[in-house]
Amino acid sequence: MSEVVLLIDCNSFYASCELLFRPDLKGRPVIVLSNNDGCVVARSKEAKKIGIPMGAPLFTIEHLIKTFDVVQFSSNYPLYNDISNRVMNTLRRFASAIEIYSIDEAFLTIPCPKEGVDILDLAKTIRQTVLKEIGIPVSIGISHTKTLAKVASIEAKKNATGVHALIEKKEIDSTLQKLDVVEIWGIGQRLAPKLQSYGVFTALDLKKTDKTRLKKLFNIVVVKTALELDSIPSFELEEIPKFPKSITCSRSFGKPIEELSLLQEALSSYTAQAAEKLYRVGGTAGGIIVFLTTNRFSEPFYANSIYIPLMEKTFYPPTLMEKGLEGLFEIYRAGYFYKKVGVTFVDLSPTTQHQLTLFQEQFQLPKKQKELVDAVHRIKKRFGINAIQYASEGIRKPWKNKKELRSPLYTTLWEDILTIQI
Amino acid sequence: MGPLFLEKGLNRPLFDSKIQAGFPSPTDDEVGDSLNLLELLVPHPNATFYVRVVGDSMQGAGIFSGDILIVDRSSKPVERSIVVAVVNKEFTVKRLVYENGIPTLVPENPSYPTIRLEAEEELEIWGVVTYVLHKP
Repeated sequence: MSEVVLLIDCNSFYASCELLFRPDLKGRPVIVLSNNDGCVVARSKEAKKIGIPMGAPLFTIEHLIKTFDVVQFSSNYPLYNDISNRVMNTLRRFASAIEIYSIDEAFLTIPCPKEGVDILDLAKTIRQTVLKEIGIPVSIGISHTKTLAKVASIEAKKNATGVHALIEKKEIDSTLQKLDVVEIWGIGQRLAPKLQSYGVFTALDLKKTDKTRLKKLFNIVVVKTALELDSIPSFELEEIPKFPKSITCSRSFGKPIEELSLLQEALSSYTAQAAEKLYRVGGTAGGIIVFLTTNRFSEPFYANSIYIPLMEKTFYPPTLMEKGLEGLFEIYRAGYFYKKVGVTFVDLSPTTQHQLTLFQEQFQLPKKQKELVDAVHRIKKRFGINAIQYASEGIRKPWKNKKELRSPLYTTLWEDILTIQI
Repeated sequence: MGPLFLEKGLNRPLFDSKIQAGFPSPTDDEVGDSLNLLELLVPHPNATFYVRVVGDSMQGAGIFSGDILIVDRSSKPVERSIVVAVVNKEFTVKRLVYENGIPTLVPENPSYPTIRLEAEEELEIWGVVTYVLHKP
């Protein structure tokens, strides 16, 4: 064994980001709500303790919020992204390779420590460094493969030290024996019932199942997972982030909406946001999907979607908006109360790629368009995302949930930096 | 990010005169990048945060109301460091002084008291103030 795999997981990440700038809230239950404040997307450990479930719709936990005086935040993605980048940069220093798995998780490989150096001590150093330099607590699971590192990280969360290593075979097996298959990374609710029907109930069962038999009954992911549980690395670290296949922006409305004009505003606004993301990854879209739906649980129900191919790939927000609005017009039916509208860009490709195609002349980003988008981007970066917008996004935005519980953009906007009374 | 900033500032002699007729420009012997203020002020951008202060308790140290502080969390606080600290769950900015080994937070203005920790009170050093940005 020449390398070990670490899974680093930021504890209650969004809540931890908020607490970094709000020490006054220490010890109180803190939750972060999804876009439009519908559901719980992060909980401080105090919020977990009082029984607020992950993903809970806000209205189902109102009694808890009242009883325990729970602190609520709207999502502050610019902050979470910035803090995440800092955490990942710090981790990079220790790693021979890193895969940023999500905003708050990363796989690291590190050279196997020399004789006499305790791997747990090294993990504790990593944990201490992130805590000191960035202010975010993390848990670290260590083992021979990604899947086992993930198992170890479940244990790490229970430890006071926040780190756990699964290295010795005996210890690995006794841990796997206690782990339900549904808890295994990559198995989940979808595959668990079938595995159970073949008598595979625990992670240890899966590890011991004959691989050729598994191959016949399940897909390759299950086979690889079983190998990984057996300490045989089968999932490589994906160091280069994949270029996204699609970009979606969609929100539930604060209250149901019937008028086409308001849906148009909302769709324009979401298209602008998705276009901003497309710009950031440096891509163009070849098609747009527009979708809308009423509440699933109330009558009359209506949902529809439409795909609009683009003659020429583009990143240009006004074109994307125009096409999106055409699509909305097609699928809109009067007389319904809509809950949600959204847009997905598909058939994405990096801009650099098309400059190499045969039709280079045609595909080169039109200079004026690029200048406009660059200018809008710079203004938003300097003065905040609400400083400038496209007119079709509307002014009053009654479709937008008015609740403003978002914390300041402490690390991405000068006007919003932390202020201290001294 | 850190090392990038540093490398940029190294004074590396590069000899990039092309061979051509005539005299080579005497300025080609050594080239260097223009100074970048961030190299000086923010050697550890990944661990650096910016904070605005309001109040006059640190004016003796040249920190005035409205100034922006550069706070480096990776820098180790030592005796007499100016620190961003959390006392009683509240942020403050003071000079860190050890009295008989016990940390205290000393203002730089005689009309403010030194902060001495009561029993049970916790002191967290949030970061070390490395520069003050003051507009005259």
